[in-house]
Amino acid sequence: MTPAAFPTTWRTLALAAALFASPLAQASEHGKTAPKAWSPVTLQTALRDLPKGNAAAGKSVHDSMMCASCHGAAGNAQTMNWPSVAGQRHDYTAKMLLDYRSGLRDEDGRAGLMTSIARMMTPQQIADVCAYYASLPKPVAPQAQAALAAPLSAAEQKRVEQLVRKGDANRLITACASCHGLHGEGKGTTPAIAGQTTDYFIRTMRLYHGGERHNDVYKGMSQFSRRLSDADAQLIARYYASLGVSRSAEVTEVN
Amino acid sequence: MNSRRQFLLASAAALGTAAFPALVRAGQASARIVIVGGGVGGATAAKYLKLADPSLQVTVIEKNPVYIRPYGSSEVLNQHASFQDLEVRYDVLRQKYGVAFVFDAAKTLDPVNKTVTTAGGKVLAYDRLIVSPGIKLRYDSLPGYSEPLAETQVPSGWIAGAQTALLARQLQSMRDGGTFVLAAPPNPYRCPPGPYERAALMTEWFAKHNPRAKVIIADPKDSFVTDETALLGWNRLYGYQPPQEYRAKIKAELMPSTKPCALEWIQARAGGTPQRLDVKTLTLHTAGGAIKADVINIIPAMVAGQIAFDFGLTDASGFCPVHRATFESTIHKDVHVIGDSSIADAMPKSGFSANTQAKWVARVITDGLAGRDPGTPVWENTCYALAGKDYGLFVADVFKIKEDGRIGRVNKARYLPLDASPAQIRLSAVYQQAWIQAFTQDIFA
Amino acid sequence: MRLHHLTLALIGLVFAIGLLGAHAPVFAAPASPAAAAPLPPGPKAPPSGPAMAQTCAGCHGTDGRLHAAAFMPLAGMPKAQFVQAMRDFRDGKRPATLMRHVAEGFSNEEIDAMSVYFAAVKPE
Repeated sequence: MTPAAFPTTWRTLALAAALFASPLAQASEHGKTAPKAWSPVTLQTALRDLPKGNAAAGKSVHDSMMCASCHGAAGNAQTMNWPSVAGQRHDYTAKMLLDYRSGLRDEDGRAGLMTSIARMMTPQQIADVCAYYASLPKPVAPQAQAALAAPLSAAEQKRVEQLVRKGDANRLITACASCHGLHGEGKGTTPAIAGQTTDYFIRTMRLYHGGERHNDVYKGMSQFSRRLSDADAQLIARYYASLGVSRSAEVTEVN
Repeated sequence: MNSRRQFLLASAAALGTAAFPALVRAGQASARIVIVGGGVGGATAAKYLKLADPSLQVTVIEKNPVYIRPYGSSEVLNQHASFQDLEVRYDVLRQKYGVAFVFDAAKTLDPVNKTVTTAGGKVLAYDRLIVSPGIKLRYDSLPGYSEPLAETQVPSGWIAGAQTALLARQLQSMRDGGTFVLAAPPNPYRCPPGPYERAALMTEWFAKHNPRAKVIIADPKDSFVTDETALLGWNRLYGYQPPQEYRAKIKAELMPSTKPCALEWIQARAGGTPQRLDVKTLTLHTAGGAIKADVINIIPAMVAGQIAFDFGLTDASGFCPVHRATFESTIHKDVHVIGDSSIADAMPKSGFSANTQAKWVARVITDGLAGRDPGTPVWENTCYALAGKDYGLFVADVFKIKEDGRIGRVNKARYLPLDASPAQIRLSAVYQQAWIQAFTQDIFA
Repeated sequence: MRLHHLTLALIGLVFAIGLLGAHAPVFAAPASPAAAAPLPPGPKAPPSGPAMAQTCAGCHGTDGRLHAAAFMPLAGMPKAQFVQAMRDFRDGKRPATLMRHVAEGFSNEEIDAMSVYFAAVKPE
């Protein structure tokens, strides 16, 4: 950028930020003018309106916005506490960034942090970083808490596969695989969850259950999580974590 | 004291403070470490002593049962945080780490018999003492100012507490188009970028809530830590025009201003030195003239906390001389002084400095008790600050004892580069908030 | 009504400038001198790995265990990853806010010692 352009950018960005940030921040705090929920049509339009993303440029965005601090150097989160984003579906990542930007997703302090970051990004940067993460292989399971790292027993495997593939009609729990895919690979704007970190997974189920997180288009997640016991949520979290690339199989590369 | 301990201590004294005497404590009760002050330095020391050796008997003497954190406290003034957000409890230190607390003021030190006596008359014996009493604000250093005035009318709020809340109320209810005057302190003082962050955050807040208000910094100095980065931020956010000598230094393009800036920094060389406070007319008299104000915030000269004086740990400078390698007082043996009260050469007086000094002293003490050499010391001071809610900056230093025997920096650059990208600047502001949480957890959780 | 037009104009300007920015490096190379060799260690031996690692905890969590903040946890980080990250910060290859400044305070030997410490910490 030429020096002459820089001052204009700063003043404009500051003004734009003041215009963007205040009403939206107030909306999510006071719930007066809450961000509009998506309809399938508005969502598809917004995704289609994003520019075409470039994965190599997306790596630069990942670097300059310091995404690695939480999401890991190559999109593999360093703790169980934050989501891995490696291999995540383009449309899901885009929707999440748009949801943070609008305040539709604002479940806790971490979301507030993502809101600040998403509002710094241009549509091109959003598109680029989505392309970058989508180009990566699915996540490497991070070093796990002892209880959650233990491989599933035969009985546990049977139970969780029942839940994942068939659901539970008694508890009105739809099979996870029906939206998230047979191998947890996701579909469209339904996220890939194979290899996702366990703490984040369990926390997400709790946040849907409690209604703090409510940005899914059909609001199905709160229904599915309503009757899911903590034990079942842990089981499913361990199951999906195990679908990632195992850490022993990972080449100890230098990123 | 039994004769064996007397012999060991006599040997230790003979070896001198530079060595690390091997006090073998086999068969003896766990060593007693008393810590005066439950702020950043004292609490960090307590936790890290217990982490290194859970068998140590660690007792903190602190007069306030709840800690009000000063770092980030200016964010109460611009409504970015509530006063309750500043409260930190000692529960985890007590329950998880087993640190004992005596909620009382420490009153006297007997360095020969190695006891500390509290105002309530409790006598605590120590094998090692850590004194971390923070700062004492010298209200009387400004004619016309006093502690009672600070509590009621012209708050300082540099030790977080009721004065912070008072200042917040005054600023948030200041009349339209009023003037807020901040009297900056002379060196050395706690939290070098702090007064300027406070003034900038209020400038930002006034722009939204009281657009004709003015903010004036009356300064007995001509510069401050992070000044170049801060002034560039003020230029971009508030149209501030830096003094001439900075214009050459700040290479990035400065924006011209279209109207007078609401924020003014009167350096010493321009007559900014505060000389007298006239509280009746709310006028601050400076070397360059009288400034009539609606709200005045005086950050006066400061020295070591009173306890350091009462314990005989200070020198003519009003701070505590220590051996750099151990932070042990040069005046009283087996007494370590850390944090703002200590003379630590190039280390700024900051929470982060106190935190790394406390960790080092915990290491020195536990290694010393076990007969180990703690090795070469290292400290850090890495703190984020704000020029505006979304405009972050920082100072980052790594410290060692240099060839001249004094503590000095071993890294090159200290500040956010002047050509930092918008992402680095916004993320620094995001990280500043995260840092407050992470820092608090490292000390108290 | 005027505010609406102003908002639209500013939105357009922001996106336009953002697109302009997309063609320029998002992180501009700093004007400071090129990455030099690590600073020579002092006359004494370097500090121990644990002593250095403790100074990181104020941001990165006690023992590098961090859950809720925006910083990278270090507990259990593979040695090679820690070393590469610190060197990339120090050499300006990896964008950062203040990590370059911190990394510049440590020699290769000191970085290695810290990597050994953190790799051995159990994450939980």
